[in-house]
Amino acid sequence: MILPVYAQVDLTNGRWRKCTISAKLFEQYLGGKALGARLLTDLTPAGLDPLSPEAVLIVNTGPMNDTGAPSSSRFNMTFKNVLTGGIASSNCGGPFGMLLKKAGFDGLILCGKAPELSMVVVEDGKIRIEPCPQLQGLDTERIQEELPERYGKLVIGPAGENQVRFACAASGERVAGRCGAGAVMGSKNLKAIIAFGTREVVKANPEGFEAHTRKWVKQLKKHPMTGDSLPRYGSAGLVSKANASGVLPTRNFTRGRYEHYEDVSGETLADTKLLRNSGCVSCPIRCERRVKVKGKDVKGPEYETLGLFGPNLENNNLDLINELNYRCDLLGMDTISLAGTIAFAMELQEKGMGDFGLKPGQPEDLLRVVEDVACRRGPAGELAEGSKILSEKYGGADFAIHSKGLELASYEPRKSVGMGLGYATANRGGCHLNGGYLALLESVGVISMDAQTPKGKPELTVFFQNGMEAASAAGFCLFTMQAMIPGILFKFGPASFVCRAAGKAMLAARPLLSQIWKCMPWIMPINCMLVPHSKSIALATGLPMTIGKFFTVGERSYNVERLYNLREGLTRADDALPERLTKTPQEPDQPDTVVPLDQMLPVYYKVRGWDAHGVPTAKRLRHLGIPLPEEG
Amino acid sequence: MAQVRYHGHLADLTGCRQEALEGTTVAKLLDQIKRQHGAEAYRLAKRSHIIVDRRSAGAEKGFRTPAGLDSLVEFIPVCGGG
Repeated sequence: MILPVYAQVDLTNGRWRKCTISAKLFEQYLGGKALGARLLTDLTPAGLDPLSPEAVLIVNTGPMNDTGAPSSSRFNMTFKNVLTGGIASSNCGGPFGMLLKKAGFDGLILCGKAPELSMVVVEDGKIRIEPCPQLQGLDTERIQEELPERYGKLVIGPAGENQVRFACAASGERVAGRCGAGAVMGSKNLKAIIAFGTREVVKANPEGFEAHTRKWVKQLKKHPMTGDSLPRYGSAGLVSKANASGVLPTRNFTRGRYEHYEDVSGETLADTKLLRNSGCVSCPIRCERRVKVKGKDVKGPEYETLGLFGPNLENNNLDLINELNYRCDLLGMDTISLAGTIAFAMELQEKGMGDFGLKPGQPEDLLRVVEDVACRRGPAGELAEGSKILSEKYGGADFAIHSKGLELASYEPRKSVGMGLGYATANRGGCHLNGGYLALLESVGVISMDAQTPKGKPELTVFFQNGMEAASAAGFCLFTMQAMIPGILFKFGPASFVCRAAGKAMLAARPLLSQIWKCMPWIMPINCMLVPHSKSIALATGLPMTIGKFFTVGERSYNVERLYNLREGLTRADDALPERLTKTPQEPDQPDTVVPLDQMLPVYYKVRGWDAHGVPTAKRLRHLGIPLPEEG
Repeated sequence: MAQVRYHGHLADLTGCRQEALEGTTVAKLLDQIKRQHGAEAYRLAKRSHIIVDRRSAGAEKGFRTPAGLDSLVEFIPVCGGG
């Protein structure tokens, strides 16, 4: 078995050294965010300022990167979350991860602070740090044009240099968007990391792997979700259904429906703006939209950006959303957190609780606002702190739409209560993916499930959180998980007896789902095409991976992240949502259109094997092979 | 006559975004779609999310969900994303 090789790089003095991840850690955590969480916990003391030189930034791949497995180009950044103070992992589909691996490293562990603006150059097993003051202030596109073409690049824009709390890092046109990865790089005077090499990934069973990959790609291309809907509309296709289900956030999450939703829907995007679709390296799904902004062919907006820069700001100008999306990418900012913070600040301003120089009703002014935030300039520059810090200063905590400090994604959870639980319990804060993405089952997918009932939602949330955690650790795109929903259901349709029965059966399976974690991984000691990920990992790495072990990696990772959050001072009280979502019904005549978090949280903790305060029990940690916090 | 709205590829297949159709249940509206727009449009409509007056037919009575004279019935092909 070939073990992952990492480099520890001290940016303060330019020294670096190689280190190999032990076989035990590799098998337990694979790589990506799971291994990142373990390493960050082990390498840093509690209480560090995430933007201090002592803070550690881990940029790593998973074992599947650069293997040719479908949708496996995702790499990860782990660090102390700039918005929440807890764990952060941010994922990106750009080419950097693949080139980092080719350069001879599975991951980089960066600490310290360069004396001047610098870049880390990783080339054929060697690392050097080069000052780059000439790159100061360049946007993410320009800087990548300036750097030699053959390298994989991970860069920040002006927002990262200015340590905007939700600054992102970019590789190609893809971004590691959430939690402030760009701010951490900026705090270390790190403008770019570039990598080049020619190392090939050695697979444990090349013939078996190729055959399995062929079968899997065929399955993805045949599946109605990954083979038709995502290539046709991208994630933007969700706008219409989200609106119809009442989960399209509108006017800072006061409503779940927007009267002009068709102006910003995936269909309108496809009919009027789409140039073509594209995708990440090695991905057969190709969900990326290409659109024209000021005559230039650029990456189009995802559903999240459409929802949050559109209906949530009552903006139905699709050209403007495309431009805002592009500007955010250039400046290096997470569109979810930025748009969410603007919506909150607008409401504060409308209520006379603060003045940020915003102009409600004039969406075109948002272009100016975005620039001001990135440069921390003028009254709008204060938005660079994010919703939570703004609410601590100006009030309005009940309508500051974040969890733990991370702004919520574009699903209004009062009509998708399991998604609400996911937001509240996600280790990195208000994230739909880290939260288990139950909106897919409750509101926008093919299965017809009761979106308002709290019953069964904790069990399903844990199941999907763990599964997605494991896929991410290996380096797979989470969209591959959507093909786990049997394709046959799409032939019947959500209104059919079959899909309605499927929804009811999933909820009814809660006693089983709540118990399986006690006997995982032994309960599923097999591999099959329902979860092709585990066999792919086994064939590529030689690890004795099974579906059961795959889900256990996810559960282990979720617990390590939780322990990190607890160590950094987050508590049960942080598993929360703003009162707007838990106390005010979305439909005034339907009192159940709130997120019944108080009912779901205790069950969630129990399923996870945590105590009533949300602390993992020693028994569950031992079961997972995680050292108890006091054991170090 | 219920107002029927088509989304996504369904609008291409039917050649319109919205039209009025006769039918007192979702199943009857689907029959109308088959008659007027052919089997392919019918198949896609049947496999779509069907929203009757802002409520999912999947959460009501499925294809037996009633559609009133003033109902707005939306057919939205299933999408993925996240």
